[in-house]
Amino acid sequence: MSISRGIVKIAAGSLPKSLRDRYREQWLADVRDAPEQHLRPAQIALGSVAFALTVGRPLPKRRDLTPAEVDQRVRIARVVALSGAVLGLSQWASMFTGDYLGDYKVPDAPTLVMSTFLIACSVLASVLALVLIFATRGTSTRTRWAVALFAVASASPIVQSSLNSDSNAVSAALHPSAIAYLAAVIPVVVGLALLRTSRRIAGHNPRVSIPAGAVFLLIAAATLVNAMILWSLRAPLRFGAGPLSANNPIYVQWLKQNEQFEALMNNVFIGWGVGAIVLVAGFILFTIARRLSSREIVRLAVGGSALTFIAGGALLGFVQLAEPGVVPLPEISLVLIVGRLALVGAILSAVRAGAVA
Amino acid sequence: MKPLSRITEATVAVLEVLSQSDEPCWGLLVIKSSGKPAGSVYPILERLESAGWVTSSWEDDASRTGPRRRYYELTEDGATAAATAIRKVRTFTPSVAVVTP
Repeated sequence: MSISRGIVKIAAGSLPKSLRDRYREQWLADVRDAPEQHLRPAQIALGSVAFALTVGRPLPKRRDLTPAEVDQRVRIARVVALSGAVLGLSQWASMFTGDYLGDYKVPDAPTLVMSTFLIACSVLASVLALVLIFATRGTSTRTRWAVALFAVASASPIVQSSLNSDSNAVSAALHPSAIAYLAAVIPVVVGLALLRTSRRIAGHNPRVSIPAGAVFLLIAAATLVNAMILWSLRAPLRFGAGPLSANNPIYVQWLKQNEQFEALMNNVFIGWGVGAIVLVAGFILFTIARRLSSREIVRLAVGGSALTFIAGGALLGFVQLAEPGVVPLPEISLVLIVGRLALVGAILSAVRAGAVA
Repeated sequence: MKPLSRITEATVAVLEVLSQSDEPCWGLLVIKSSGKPAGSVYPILERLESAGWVTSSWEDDASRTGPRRRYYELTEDGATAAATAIRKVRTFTPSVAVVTP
């Protein structure tokens, strides 16, 4: 019964203030007296959750953004979009280093193509990094510092790749940039997700929150499963095709080295799964409580999923750094790239919405 | 009193329970008597109350300590509207109780 009491208290706590005290007391009384009517307290608890998810909520009082505020947010959005593009290009470049190609015995012609591609990425990323710094004009001092830090950090893998360093060095250089990127991008993305006007609040549809949350959870779960397939010694599918094949001595050696990290990795997987569930539950409650429009809910789900990808990729990368003599797997790079590109898409969407707000 | 935007089978079941009760009806009893899940009954009661079909009040039993029960009853207009709604819905979808000898 105490679990049911806890659930109805949480459900009542999520209600609008005008209904909160009344339903808390009513549901607590119903939970207490349910056995008297041969009903289970859990039924009342589930009912309170269903009520909290479907109750009509008053429109929150919000002021419309001034044109200057919209303009500043659009500027920030452009900055973040450019940041994503720079880091994405950095990631591409770091994939095609000399050691990586050498390990897989790639012939000379593709090496030439990849080298050309690497140079193109480096040049483009450098240009974008410069544009990025100029794009911060008009934003706050804190944003300019964050972007400058990111631009410097994101340049490091490009430089390393251009110098044709070994893969581990590139990987080691990449992760500080990922941290700087996350530190700079998360508050901005959250701010963009909250960008809204009264006009768009009118499009609120609470039914969108749950399927969007389900997709979000699916993506988070896919990220976790991908990590487990790559890292868990217990994963039945850990031997796949290509680089993950049992015939790949590098992968087999890597798994052997992983044995000493098994307990740590299991805890990481559990923490990751719990964190994803809490994140998605928070997402659903937030979108309902704040009456976000359908478009905003979808945008937030895309942004959140992208951040989950990035966080997952970064976590894998950190664990990977603990392994001596291990070559980065292309799957990890792919996860990072997909996440970052999705994030850029979400941010560009926010830019567009901000421009018409 | 405002008309309801939609009247579902569960809404009619709740209205029937309230109509058949001569005194204010405890929310938990509405759940049990209607046979509908709490997740349907609570939102329906809230909608009915917001629309003015139903009023609710706290129990007045000093002997019971702790959180109070909430009682519901149809308003005068609500009782009339409920009778109409029940008749209309039951005409098209007779309940099991009606067709069973």
